[in-house]
Amino acid sequence: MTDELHGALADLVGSVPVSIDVDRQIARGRRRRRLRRLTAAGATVAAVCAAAIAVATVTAPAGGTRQPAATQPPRPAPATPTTPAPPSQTVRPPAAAGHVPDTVHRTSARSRALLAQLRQLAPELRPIAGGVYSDDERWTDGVPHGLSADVMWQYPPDRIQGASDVQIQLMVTAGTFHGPEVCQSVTAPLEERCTDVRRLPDGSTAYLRDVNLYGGVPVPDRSSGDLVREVRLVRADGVEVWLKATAEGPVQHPVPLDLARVLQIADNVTVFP
Amino acid sequence: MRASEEEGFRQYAQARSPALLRTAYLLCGDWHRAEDIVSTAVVKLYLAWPAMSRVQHLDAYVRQIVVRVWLDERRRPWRREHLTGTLPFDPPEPVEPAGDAAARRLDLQRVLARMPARQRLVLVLRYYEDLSIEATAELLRCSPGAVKSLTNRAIAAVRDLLPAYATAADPEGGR
Repeated sequence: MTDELHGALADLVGSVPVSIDVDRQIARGRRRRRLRRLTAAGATVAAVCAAAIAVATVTAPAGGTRQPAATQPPRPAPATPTTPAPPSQTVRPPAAAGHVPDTVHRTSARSRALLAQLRQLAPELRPIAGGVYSDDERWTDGVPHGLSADVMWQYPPDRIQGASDVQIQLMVTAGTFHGPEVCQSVTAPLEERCTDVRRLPDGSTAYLRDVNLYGGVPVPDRSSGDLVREVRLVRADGVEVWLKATAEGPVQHPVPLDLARVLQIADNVTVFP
Repeated sequence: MRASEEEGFRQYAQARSPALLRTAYLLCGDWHRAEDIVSTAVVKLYLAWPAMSRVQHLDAYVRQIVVRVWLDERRRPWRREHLTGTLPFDPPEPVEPAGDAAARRLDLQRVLARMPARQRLVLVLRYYEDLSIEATAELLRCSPGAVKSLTNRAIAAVRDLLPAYATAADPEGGR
C-alpha cells in the first residue's frame, strides 16, 4: 500500500500548472528587508525621543501644572477599520495591469483594541487555560482592509505546532473589503444554507450558521467534521463583523460559545466607521 | 546580499519551486493557493539566505518553511471557505473504487479534502515526501508516537473511503 499510495499522490499532482516568478519574489524580499530596516531605525528614533522626553519630565522644575491621575481604568479603544493612520511603508500608486497585490498582516493599535474588546465581551473565554491570543490588521498595497482578533487552544497542548483544535475568530471589515460570506439564506442549498437570518433592531442583518464542515463543506451529519458556529453581521453603515467559534474534528473539546452568544458578542463589538 | 549570493538563491529557488509547489498543492488542494504559499516561503527563504550556509539540510529546511506557511495561512480568518459543488456532501458513504486513472485521482483528491489537516499533512510528508517517522516528528515538533497515531488514522481514512487502497495491510506506514 505504501508504494501504491506514493504513486497515487505523485499521480495526483502530475504536472505543475503554475510557476513561481523568482525575480518577483526577490523584489518582494528586498522591499520587506528595506521595511525591516526602516522599522528598526524608526523604533530607535522613537526610543531616543521617549528617553529624551522622560529625562525632560524628570528634570523639569517642580511646581508646574501636573495632570491628575486617571480615576478610571483604561478602556480599550473602539475598532476603527476605515479611519486608519498611514501605514509605515509607502502607499503605492493605483494597481497597474498585471500587478500582484502585496498583502501584509501585522498587529496594530486598532487590531489590539479589537482583541481587547473580544476579551472584554467574552469573559467566559478567560478561564480556559492555554489560550493563545493574537490580532492583526490586513494591508494590501498599503491600504487597510480589516482587523482581526482571535484566540486558539490546542489539545493536547504543543502536540503539533500550528494545529488548532478550538478557535474563536473575530474580524471587522468595512468599505470594499468583506469577510467570509458565511451563508445565503435558510432555504438555500446545504452548502450555502443559514441556520437563521435575523434583522436586528439597529437595522443590521445577521447571517447565522451552526454546522459541521467536512473538507470545508457542510454535512448533515453532526457527529463528524469540524463544528462551526459563526455569524456575519452586516450593519446598516456597511461595516461587517464576523465571529466564528470552531472546534476541529473529530471534535473532542466543546466550542465555548453557543450560537446565541456568538451573535450577542458580534452585535456588541464597537465599531466607529 | 552580494550578487553571487543572490544568483545562488535564484538558481536554488528556480530548481526547487516545482517540487515545493507539488507539496503545497497536496496540502491545500488548490494550485493558486499553493503558488501563494510557495511564493511566501521563497520570500522568507530570501530573507534568511545569507545564513543558509550554516544549514545542514537546506531542502528539509525549505520544506519546513512551506509547511509552516501553510499552517499559518490556514489559521488566518481571511482564508475563505470555498464552497464548491465538486466536493462530496456525504462523507459516511465510501467512494466506489475508481475505474480509470482520472476517476481514481478525483477520488483521492476527495479523500484528502475530507481528511483533517494534521492527518493530511502527515500523509503527504510520510507517503509523498518519503520522510521517516522521526524526520516527520522533528518537522512537526511532536513525538514519533503522535506521528504514528496520525499516520494510522490517515491510512484508516483512506481505506474507509477508498476501498481500492485496502488491498494490503500496513497500519504503521511501513517506513
